[in-house]
Amino acid sequence: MATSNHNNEVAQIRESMQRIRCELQTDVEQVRESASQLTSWQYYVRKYPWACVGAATALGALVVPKRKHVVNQIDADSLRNMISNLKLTPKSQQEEVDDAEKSGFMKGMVTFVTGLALKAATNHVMNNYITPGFSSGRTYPSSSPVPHSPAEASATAASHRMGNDTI
Amino acid sequence: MQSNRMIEQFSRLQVPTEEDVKEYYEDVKDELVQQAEMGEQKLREQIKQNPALAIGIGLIAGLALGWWLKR
Repeated sequence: MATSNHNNEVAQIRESMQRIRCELQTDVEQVRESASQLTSWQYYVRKYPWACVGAATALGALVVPKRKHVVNQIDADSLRNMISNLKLTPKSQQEEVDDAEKSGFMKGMVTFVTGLALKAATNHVMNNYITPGFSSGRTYPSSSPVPHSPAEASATAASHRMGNDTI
Repeated sequence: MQSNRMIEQFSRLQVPTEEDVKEYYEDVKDELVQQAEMGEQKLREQIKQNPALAIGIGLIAGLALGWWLKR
């Protein structure tokens, strides 16, 4: 008797668990659907149709730029208006100092970078396109390695000179 | 319907009374409001069915309006 009651309880619990599982699955699906619905713009258009259409209209109206006022003939009044619209405020002393510092720093940077670039370009041209000894008028024997820099070239020339002296 | 009644009165050379005119005005107003509500409902359904088209038309209308006002 007791075992049959126990079996019934177990079966009931299993059924209820099964039911809960099914409900949970449907709940999860509903949540997923509602989440995907919330991220879709069409949902908002369907929910607030007039507001969305009005917002689109306002956006379209705002996107259009204003027409530029072109003056074909400048008369004295319009010229005076233009000059009065210009805000000509004199720079303060501190601003002038800052500008001068900025321009000085920029000038120095440009000079430094230009010098580096010129040096690199000169080295490149000297190493690759100008034959060794072109500037000094010396020729190197074919067996000797070609110097790749002015320092190497002078060292090579010195060694040749010493060799000639010994002979 | 009401306009026909008014026309009949005029055709009989009867001058409508103030009450008649008021009643006529109320009837016409109710009819117009009803028509407008029906049209609004129809348009709302159309927007719900074609949201992209509605937004596009709204955007183009806004562009045209802005162009007309600003340019």
